[in-house]
Amino acid sequence: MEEKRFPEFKPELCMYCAGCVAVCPALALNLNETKLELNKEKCIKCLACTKICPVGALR
Amino acid sequence: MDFEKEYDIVIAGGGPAGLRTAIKAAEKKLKVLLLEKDQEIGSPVRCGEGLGMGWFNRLGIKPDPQFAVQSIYGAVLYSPKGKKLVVRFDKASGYIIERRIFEKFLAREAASKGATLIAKATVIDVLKEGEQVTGVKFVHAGEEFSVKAKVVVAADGVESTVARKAGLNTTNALYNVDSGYQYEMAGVKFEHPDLIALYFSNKYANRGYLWIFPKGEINGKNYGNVGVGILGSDTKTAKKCLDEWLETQPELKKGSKIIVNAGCIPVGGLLDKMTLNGLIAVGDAAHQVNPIHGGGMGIAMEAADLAVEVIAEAIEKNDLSDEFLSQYTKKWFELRGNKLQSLVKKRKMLEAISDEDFETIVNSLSGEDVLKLAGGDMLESAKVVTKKLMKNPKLATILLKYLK
Repeated sequence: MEEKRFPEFKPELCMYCAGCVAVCPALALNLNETKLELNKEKCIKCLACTKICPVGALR
Repeated sequence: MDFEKEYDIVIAGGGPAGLRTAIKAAEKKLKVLLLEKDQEIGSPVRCGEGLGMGWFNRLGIKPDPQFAVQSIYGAVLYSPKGKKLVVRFDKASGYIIERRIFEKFLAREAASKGATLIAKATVIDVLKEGEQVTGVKFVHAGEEFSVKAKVVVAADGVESTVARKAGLNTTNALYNVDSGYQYEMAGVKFEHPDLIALYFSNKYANRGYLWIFPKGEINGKNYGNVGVGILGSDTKTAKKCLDEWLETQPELKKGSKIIVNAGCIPVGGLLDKMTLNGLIAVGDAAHQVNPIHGGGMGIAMEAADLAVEVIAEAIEKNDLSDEFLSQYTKKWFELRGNKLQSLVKKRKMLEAISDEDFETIVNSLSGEDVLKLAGGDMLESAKVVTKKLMKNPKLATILLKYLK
């Protein structure tokens, strides 16, 4: 079984394309220009954001 | 800042969907405010930048050479093993456009017709009175503002945060999103500088394809977009797929990477519901994309025209209810959505084809055959398929495998 954890964010890789925001079922990600925030209270640890990320900035 | 407290339409997002909404609404003398979160309309680009000729004609857009930079005469398709099929038309079938410039053209047109546009203005919340969306709250250069709207248009791209904050479920299932990565490369030689090149490979582009969209030539060298789109749930990143594939392309990899783009494409999962009381979603926000090739600009602008028609009537009749606005969804499915829905089924069939079977199929087709198949003439298509099947019985086995 996949471990239950929060996604890990590597800001130096992020392209701010918002693909992660698009697939987050919990509306836990917020992107403001060059700032990506994760709301840990909303995050359901599904890790969909880590799969969609085109560059591996979320893993 | 110079803007009013109340508008007929407030648009969240200054891409093709939002800008076209602003133009068409301004033409109808509606009071329009468009809010773009980035500091510049037209940038950053998350797009391959191809737009078919049919869209220019349908939408009445003149392909100004300032943005329509390269005429495209067809496509060259590469099989996983590198066999190629050239599909060339006599006349240009589309353009590669510079979206940065294209969107500036649209923005200037909207402003000239009376719309108000503000860059670096991020919608942070939706105002509601009961179940009715009545406006938005936004931040511009650090300052917070509230503005009322009869209808809010959510044209804020694949992330679609505005619609979702208002309560419309536009979340994309991973399976229905492609993950994309692209370089604008310069100083390279493209084999076919007036065709788009599509490379199929389950290894480097699981479900999707790699592409070269040429933009032009300078000093005998070409430049253009080189990218990949893959299944969103693939654990390999799109970047890795593109970089590994480039390693197999000796000529291409010599090129300079002058722009790096990433983005995700909603390639399916059309929405049954695209409206709320006082809100309409348009473009990527409403998943309005061709599920086979992932193109969305033309579809988004066409949907914007429809949205404006419905909104104008809603305002005239003073009925801003979801029930009235939902005519937009119904009309859009009649105009475009039903066709796209049938393409989702075709895509599911295509994505199941193994690289080996793909090779067999490509080996039995000529560029002319593809033209006939793509032309959509049922009789011609049937002729091609029948002729091929008689020549190559293995093809019949393959087709049966994927058609069931």
